Amino acid sequence: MTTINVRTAVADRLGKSGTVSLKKDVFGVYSDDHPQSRSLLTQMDLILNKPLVRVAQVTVIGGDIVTPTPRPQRDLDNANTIYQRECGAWIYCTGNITVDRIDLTFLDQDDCNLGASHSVSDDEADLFGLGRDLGANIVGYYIWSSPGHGGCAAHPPGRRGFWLEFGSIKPGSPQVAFAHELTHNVGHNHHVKKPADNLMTTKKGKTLSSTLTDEQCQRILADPDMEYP
Amino acid sequence: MTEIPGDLELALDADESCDLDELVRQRRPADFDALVSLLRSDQAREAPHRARAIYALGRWGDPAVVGAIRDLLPGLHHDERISAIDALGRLGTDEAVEGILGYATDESLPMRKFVARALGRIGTPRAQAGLSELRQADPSDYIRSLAAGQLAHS
Repeated sequence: MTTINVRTAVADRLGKSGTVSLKKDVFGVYSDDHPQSRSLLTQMDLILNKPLVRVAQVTVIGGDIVTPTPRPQRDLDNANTIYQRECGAWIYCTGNITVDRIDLTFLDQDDCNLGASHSVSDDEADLFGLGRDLGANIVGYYIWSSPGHGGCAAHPPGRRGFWLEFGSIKPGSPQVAFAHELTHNVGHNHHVKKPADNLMTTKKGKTLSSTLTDEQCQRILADPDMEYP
Repeated sequence: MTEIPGDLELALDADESCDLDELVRQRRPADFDALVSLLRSDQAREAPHRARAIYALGRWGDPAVVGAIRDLLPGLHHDERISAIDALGRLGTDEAVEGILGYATDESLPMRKFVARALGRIGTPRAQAGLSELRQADPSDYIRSLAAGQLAHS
């Protein structure tokens, strides 16, 4: 029978030492919006044997905006389900903070062009500076809204991340919107029209059953922020 | 009823604006006509499509739609109205300025933020006068500071 030293594995692979929280440091769970049983053995297998990408989450609030609230843990769990099933990789959340910045609840944005042609607005420059000390190169931001609506993975140079809105206009695929935007970042995957059940289509109603192609997984696994055991 | 081209329909349904931005770059007349037709749609039609049409038309840059967007302002809900203020700021006519100034004292800080940004983009004497008023009289330090910054850059 193999003995696994959790503290050693978490220190070596995840860089966590000192007082280690099973919930936060081992499972990467920082929100209570998606309670479920979580297997330590399964998590240790991921930590010891599978490639991972680190992600942090920032929720922007302000003023009278109190409801609805985003569901960051559901979003992470769903993204993890798809990444593990489709690509054999997993997503490790390094932190989740809430920031009171009413000036950024509605984001001013010129465009959502992915790549060098993106015009970075003053708001984007501010937003994508938040959460950079949480231990992940990729940060997912929850904002109330933006004239562009929905979400966007365009980001300032050197500050990988994306935003999702949780305000009055809901994403067409709320369960996997986080996974979709994350996949624009990880592997620089663009929209596709086929196959119809692919995570990176633009159609509404995408679910946890959404797929990724071998080519998309290859790009995800080759991403510079993917870490290997 | 104006037919919505297939690519535009997909872009309007998407959770991001990147495909819509690409169609704006392509500037196909059929897309423009379809986007304008969405402004005329009734309230029952999908609000996200109208909001995204406003977003796209603002970036298209044809001031012919200013009147139509301005006329929509009173009937829009808060988030859509912010999109419309943003679009008017990018279209930049005197009529757009008048529509924007109607919300310069709105109780919503995000609304006033987009008013300040829109006036800053337009930069005409009338827009600058509106920014000066915001700089002097707005109850929020943030908005006063933003208005001052916009004035300095316009």
